[in-house]
Amino acid sequence: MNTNQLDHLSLMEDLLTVLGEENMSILYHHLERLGVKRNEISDKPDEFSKALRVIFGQAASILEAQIVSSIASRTGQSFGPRVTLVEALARLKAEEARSEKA
Amino acid sequence: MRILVAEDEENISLLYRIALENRHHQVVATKDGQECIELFSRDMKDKNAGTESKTLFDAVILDYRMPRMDGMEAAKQILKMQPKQRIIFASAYVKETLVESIKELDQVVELLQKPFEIDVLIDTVEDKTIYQQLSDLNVNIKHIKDWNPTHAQVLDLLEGLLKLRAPNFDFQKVVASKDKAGHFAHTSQSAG
Repeated sequence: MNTNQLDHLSLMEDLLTVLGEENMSILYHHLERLGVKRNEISDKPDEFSKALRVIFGQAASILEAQIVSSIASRTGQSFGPRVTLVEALARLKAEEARSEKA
Repeated sequence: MRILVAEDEENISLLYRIALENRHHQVVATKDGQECIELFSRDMKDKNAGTESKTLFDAVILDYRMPRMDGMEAAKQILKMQPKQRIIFASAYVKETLVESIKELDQVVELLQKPFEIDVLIDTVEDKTIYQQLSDLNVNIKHIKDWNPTHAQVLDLLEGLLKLRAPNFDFQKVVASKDKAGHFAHTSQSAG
């Protein structure tokens, strides 16, 4: 699975399991008002992470870790415990680029 | 959790220890504020020097009135060393403790009015009320607990959700005020 295939739904599925549908809908609503549409999160991980930090403070790292763990299980990649969402997606993209060259 | 206790009454200290250890927490007990900050300081040095694999204390429970050094002074010194340290005061003098903590400390602390049932201490340490509120908001708390979150993280999660759900919450304003570089403001403007 690559970052293109790692669509929004699979990326956010575990977060949905944690926060519940209603909270996620509200979160999406506010994110969209900031210009981060729900299908653009994997393209704008910086903005998404920043928004999580603004809303959830220190809890943002748990939510990000949940998403990173979800990416890891879906892609078969192994990320260290402190890898952020931005780093995880960047790593996936870099690997894709490498394998495309090869 | 790893918990540091400062309590001069041996019976009370023992009660805390038994109750907390029964819940699988690790307890380090000290007899007064002085001993407590000495131990806290040593622990921090060991941690910084990498000679200990233990994490810092998840919570420090301080009796308010103690010989040698009282709980308030101990709290001040601990927060100097570790500004975000979670501190829980156990005090029979709630009003005095509250007033003094607001005046003397830069950080919000938790306060238990003595005497209290031991379950109250356990519930406070384990954030039972916060988890209950998260559960009421349909958050899957089992998943959250799997990450072994700190008290600050659980509290921030609850506060974040309550903010989001507030009818007048203006995310754009909050982000703009926190992001002087205006990146989000720009993004939202360009999004129309």
